[in-house]
Amino acid sequence: MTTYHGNLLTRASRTVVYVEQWVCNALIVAFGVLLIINAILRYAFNSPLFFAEELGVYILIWMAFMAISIGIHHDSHVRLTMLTGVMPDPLRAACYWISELICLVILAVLLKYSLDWVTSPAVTFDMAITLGWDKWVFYLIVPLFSATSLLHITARLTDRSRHAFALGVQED
Amino acid sequence: KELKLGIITPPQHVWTKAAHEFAERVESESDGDLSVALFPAGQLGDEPAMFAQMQSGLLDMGIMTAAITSQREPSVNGWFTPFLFDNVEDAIQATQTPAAEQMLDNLSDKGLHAFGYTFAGMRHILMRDQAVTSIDDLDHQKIRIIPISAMQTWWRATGAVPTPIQLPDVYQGLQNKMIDGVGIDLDALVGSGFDEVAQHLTLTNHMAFPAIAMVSSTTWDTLSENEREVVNHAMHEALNWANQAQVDAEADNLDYLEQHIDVRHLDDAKAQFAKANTAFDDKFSVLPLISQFQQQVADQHAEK
Amino acid sequence: MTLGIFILLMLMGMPIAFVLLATTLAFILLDGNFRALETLPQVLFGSLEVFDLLAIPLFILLGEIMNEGGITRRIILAARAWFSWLPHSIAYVSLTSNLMLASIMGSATAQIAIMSRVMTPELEKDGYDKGFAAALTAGSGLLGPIIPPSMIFIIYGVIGQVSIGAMFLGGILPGLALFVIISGLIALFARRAKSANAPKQTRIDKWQATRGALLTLSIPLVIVGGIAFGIVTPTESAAVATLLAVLLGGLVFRELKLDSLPALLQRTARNTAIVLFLIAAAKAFGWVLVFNQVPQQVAEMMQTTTQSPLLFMLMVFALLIVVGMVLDGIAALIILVPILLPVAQQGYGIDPVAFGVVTCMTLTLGLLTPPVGAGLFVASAISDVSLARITFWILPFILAASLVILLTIFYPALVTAFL
Ligand code: NA
Ligand code: NA
Repeated sequence: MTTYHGNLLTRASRTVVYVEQWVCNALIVAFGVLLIINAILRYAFNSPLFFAEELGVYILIWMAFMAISIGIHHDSHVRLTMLTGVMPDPLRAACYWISELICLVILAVLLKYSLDWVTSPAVTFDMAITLGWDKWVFYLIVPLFSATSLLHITARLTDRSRHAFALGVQED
Repeated sequence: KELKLGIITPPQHVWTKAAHEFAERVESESDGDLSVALFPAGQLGDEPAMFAQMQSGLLDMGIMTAAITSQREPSVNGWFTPFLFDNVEDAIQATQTPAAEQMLDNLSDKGLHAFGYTFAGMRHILMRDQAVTSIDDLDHQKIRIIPISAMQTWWRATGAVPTPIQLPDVYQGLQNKMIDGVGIDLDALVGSGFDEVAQHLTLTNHMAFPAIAMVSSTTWDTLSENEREVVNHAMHEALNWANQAQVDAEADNLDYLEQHIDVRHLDDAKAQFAKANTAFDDKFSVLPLISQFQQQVADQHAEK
Repeated sequence: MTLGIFILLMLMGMPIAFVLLATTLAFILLDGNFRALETLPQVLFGSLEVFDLLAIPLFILLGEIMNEGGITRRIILAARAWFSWLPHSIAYVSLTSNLMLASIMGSATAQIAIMSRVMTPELEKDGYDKGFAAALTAGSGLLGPIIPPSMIFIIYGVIGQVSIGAMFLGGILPGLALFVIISGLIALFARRAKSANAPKQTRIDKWQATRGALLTLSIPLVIVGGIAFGIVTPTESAAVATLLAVLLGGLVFRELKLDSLPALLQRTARNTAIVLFLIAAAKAFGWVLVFNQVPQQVAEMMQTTTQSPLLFMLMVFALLIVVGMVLDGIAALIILVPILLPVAQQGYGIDPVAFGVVTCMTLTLGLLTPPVGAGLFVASAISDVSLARITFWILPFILAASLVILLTIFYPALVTAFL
């Protein structure tokens, strides 16, 4: 892979992550505000927004898939590093490459089948009941997530400076 | 050959028992040639997911609530016409109407072959603090409902605040006044012990709650003539068994509840809830098959 | 075969969520039922279509806001004021602060990280062995997920379809039992503290310190009180608590600044993503397992081994201790609950809430067990104590927590008392 190519991909990946992060932040604030308003309306005024729960869930799902994609860009998802930590470098590099390539295959499969899913006639029946909206609009996040994640991993693999083998602490 | 059958209800529910009944009959009637693997309690996903799996031929069969089926075949909403049936027997009888048969036939262009209907108990109103003696008693009361369009429409028009919370949270919700009441069938009421925390039951019979047994067309096409006959026969036997079980359960549950909590009938319920019924009609009865269904059921009543 | 693929990929260091997805694909490919691929996107999407999951990002956000808003500091200040009459009180101050903090935060790792930074140096100053100081902080962090609110309880509730409110109430008594036992440990080890080095306790205005803490403690009051009295759902309680934290940190204490918001949201998104990715992937994994009837087979196998619920729970405890040694608690929970809970409930008639509290406590304990323990790593890194030294000192705390878990196994009434 040429340096130029790597740089281009890296730049694209960074731009996408920038947008994703921005949308993500907005979505967190949005559902926080939505839920607080709903709690206040329900308990103080006895008239909750009947669509708040459903809308909150779909905001969460969009936020989650974008954040997962961002996590893939930053390589911050939990791994078991017990064994790789004590491996000799070449073996560890091999493990890293093989597992990242498998991730690419998974995301490619997911991209294909999620596109099929979103465009299939079956989903036209799915309605978000309290909102009264078609659900395929919300489903679009799955192919979108697959595509951006493919980009992020590819960009990371073609940029030698970003092969982080030693990984940080796990979250609980 | 193994048939996978998915169902949303938990193991002790009549519908799940009907599925077991079906499985046993299929296995014995086909001399072990066909077997049925059951996936109760939504193990394979929620109902929209099960529908998608059946339509792709991955899941073979399901006993699906009319609630979710109505999203695919809107005429099924006819079953939620308020005060159309006085009891479960009435609803069972209505499955014989041409309109009810037509609703099942309409599922075939969605890649599904439907066998027939089975029923949960009629829906009534259970309140925590005071019984419902008129529609005004529901004003601003938080009522737990199943979030489907027909129920949402009807309940909102009663003046209540329909609150969709998960069934496992209802007990605590009633206990702690998170909700004031539930629209519920007697089976679920007794099964979940809600009579321990809410003791004012008003028998309204305001809606029926059917489910439809169906098989994926993909699977159906792979079965031999003989196998189809076995499956068809076993399913009809199982549905008949379940319907009779439901009628009996309804009587038993009522008997039990009358001994334990405040149970009352709301005799002029249909008139009391007129404005809610109108809201339902405005939204759903405009569909020709639904109005035909309502007419045919009314004719059945007139004959009696 | 698929189990082999699962273990191999896991050891190769592939992100655990991807390991689950890869194993799911392997299952489908080996089974030859390619139509299952079509349902995969829907299963992933549907796994997150759960209202209760909204509580997770909110509780993570709440933790972030509390840190930025100076709330942790006020809790410690109050605990110090209350215990200032007691010589060598600092260890109890640390434990009590952890208890109070636990009633606000939902994650042990986050709590250990905060408290290690603040409390370990204080303990050391008072003459405690540094290893003990770091271990005490890490061990008290276990209170985080047991005392409500708790992320791991929320996740268990969502996966197992168990009432989260009931889980929260169920954690209270086991949490207090752990508090009492750790207090005993402190009494045992405090004698080793070299009193000569102990600095004089500075006098702190008790009322002023208490006022700061009382304001702060309105947050757990909202969370636990709201859920216990059924005024709010866990998600709503998280929303209201977040609002309170913003108001306290921003307007009352004036330590929460607007320009810290983007970084704070970024951390919230990152930590939420880690958890939700695991949940989504595990749901897909669980789906193929169920479709191929694996849990049923496991259940049958278990039931041929033993008929006793007690023995079954002890086997689960042992299994989870081993799993928790190497695997992250939430990942393990997400993988194992769909298999074990149906067995426990239907095969042995075990209360799902009691099962949940035991499972979650045992897997949380995994944070402190070598060789892989996020809690150990965090405490060791922040307190600057070698991993070997902290591992030695952590042993009494692991035993203490195990004791509480065993108590809960033998007396499930500890969990169900409030239900
Ligand atoms: Na907590
Ligand atoms: Na561990």
